[in-house]
Amino acid sequence: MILGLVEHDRGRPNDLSFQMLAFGRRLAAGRGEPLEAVLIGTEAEPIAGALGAHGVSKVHLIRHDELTDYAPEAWAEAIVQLIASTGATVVMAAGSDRGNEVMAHVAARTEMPMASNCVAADPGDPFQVTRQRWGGTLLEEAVLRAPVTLITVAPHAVQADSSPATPTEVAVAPFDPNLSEQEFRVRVTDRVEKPAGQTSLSEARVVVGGGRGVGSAAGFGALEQAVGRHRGVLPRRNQRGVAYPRRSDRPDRRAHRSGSVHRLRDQRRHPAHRGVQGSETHPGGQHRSRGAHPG
Amino acid sequence: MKRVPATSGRITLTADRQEIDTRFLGFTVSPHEECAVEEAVRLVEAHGGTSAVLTLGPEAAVEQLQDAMALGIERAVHLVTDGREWDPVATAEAIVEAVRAQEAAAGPFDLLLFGNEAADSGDYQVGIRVARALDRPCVTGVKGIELQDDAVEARREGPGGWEVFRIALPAVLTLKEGINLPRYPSIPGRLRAKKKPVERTVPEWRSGGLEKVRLKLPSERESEVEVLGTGAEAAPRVVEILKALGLVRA
Repeated sequence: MILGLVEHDRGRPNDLSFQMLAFGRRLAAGRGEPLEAVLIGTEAEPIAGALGAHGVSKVHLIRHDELTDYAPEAWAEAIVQLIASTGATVVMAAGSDRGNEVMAHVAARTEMPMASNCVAADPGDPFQVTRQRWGGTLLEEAVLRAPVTLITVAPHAVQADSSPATPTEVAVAPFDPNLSEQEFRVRVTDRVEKPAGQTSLSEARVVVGGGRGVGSAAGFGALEQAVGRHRGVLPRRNQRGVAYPRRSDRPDRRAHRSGSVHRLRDQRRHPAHRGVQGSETHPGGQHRSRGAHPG
Repeated sequence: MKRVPATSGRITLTADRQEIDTRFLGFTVSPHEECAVEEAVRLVEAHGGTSAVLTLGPEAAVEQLQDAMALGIERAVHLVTDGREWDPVATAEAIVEAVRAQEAAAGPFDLLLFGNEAADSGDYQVGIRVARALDRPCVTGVKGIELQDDAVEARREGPGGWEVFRIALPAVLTLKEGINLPRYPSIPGRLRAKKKPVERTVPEWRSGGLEKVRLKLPSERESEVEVLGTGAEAAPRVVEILKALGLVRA
């Protein structure tokens, strides 16, 4: 059985999890095994019904009184116990911040290897993966040797597929893990919500950049007008009119920032100056983003 | 921290497709880790104490250790390798052994700072594996740190805003670029760094279960560049594109 973690935040699913399910569906077909999903916390239960359209035949709903918000160690321990209970052979999550985090905790607890940000998998023996390196500008073909294969799926490696020829009925199976206080030592204790109407760079659907070509801080006026007209967001700037100092302007070995920039996945309107950290300035960010238009 | 090639634009592979061809490249530190070093220096400046930097890498990685010490890190630990790549399981094991040895000799670390993921391998797991082995709480993707008496408050970007975690010390944090802007080392700092101690250990290479077969470059995406025009005459085409993107309604 192939098990996919459907990530959510207080009951709201992460779209990258649906891409992961599309990846898992192909994998399940290749292995001739069912695709099942795990949802953590009863708050996520309403998501279960929609997963049949993504090829999921069964949803394991993790229940625990303390699972009211994100707690990575508790999520991981629950999955570890579920693996032992179900005999899952492949466990996967989206290559999101949380997906990678939870799967790394699962891997650490089970003392098994994990391949992050996979774009392809060959479920033979040994299990082979192709995974992203250098923020997606390079690929690695690798084999995973472990009793249970643990992987995360790179964002946008596959498209979500919610229109199966034969929709499947989803059975919901409650699972009550044994979690100690120790598993909740890391949990979200507070939140600072974004002001209403703001869009972060990582959520922006479209990023418009204005680089040094605008000439000076005053030259950003056109972008600022566009922000006002289209309800966009302008990042914080310094006195030079740069959102964050452009790292690649530095006259030294840091000529190009390396592969950590890949958050431009689902852009909304986000006019940004070229130079925003983690955005369109880096080849890795460009490669993995969609619709970034550096100015 | 990790020594990585300073790639720029197109990456070239070696003939056996096992490594990046670095013959014409310089080396640097993974950016998240560079920020972790800067954060360590800032924490010591603000709260006192001492800091150490550790890397697993070839002999030449001493250059990156000295760069870190030039910024204000007091001492360095070099786990010297023969240049072969270590997978995340093996890397974490070697780091855990080194941390245990350091703590046995000099007392426990309050905080272990890692980069969120290495720039080259992008494994997203070494810090978590180390935390697990040492039984310490770990917060990943951290972009804000506030030290309290026996705890640390770590912030990171989450759905809809910032997530705040308050965990007890000692703890492990994996940091993301953007938490700070790393400073440049001064000339006196560089000179002092050369006199600071670098403790060397040679761990034995091992495999952790993720075995690289080969590297390859992703297939090129077809792209087309369209010059929209110059000055005001480009405006109508720009508007068309903005409409197509959904930025402007007709």
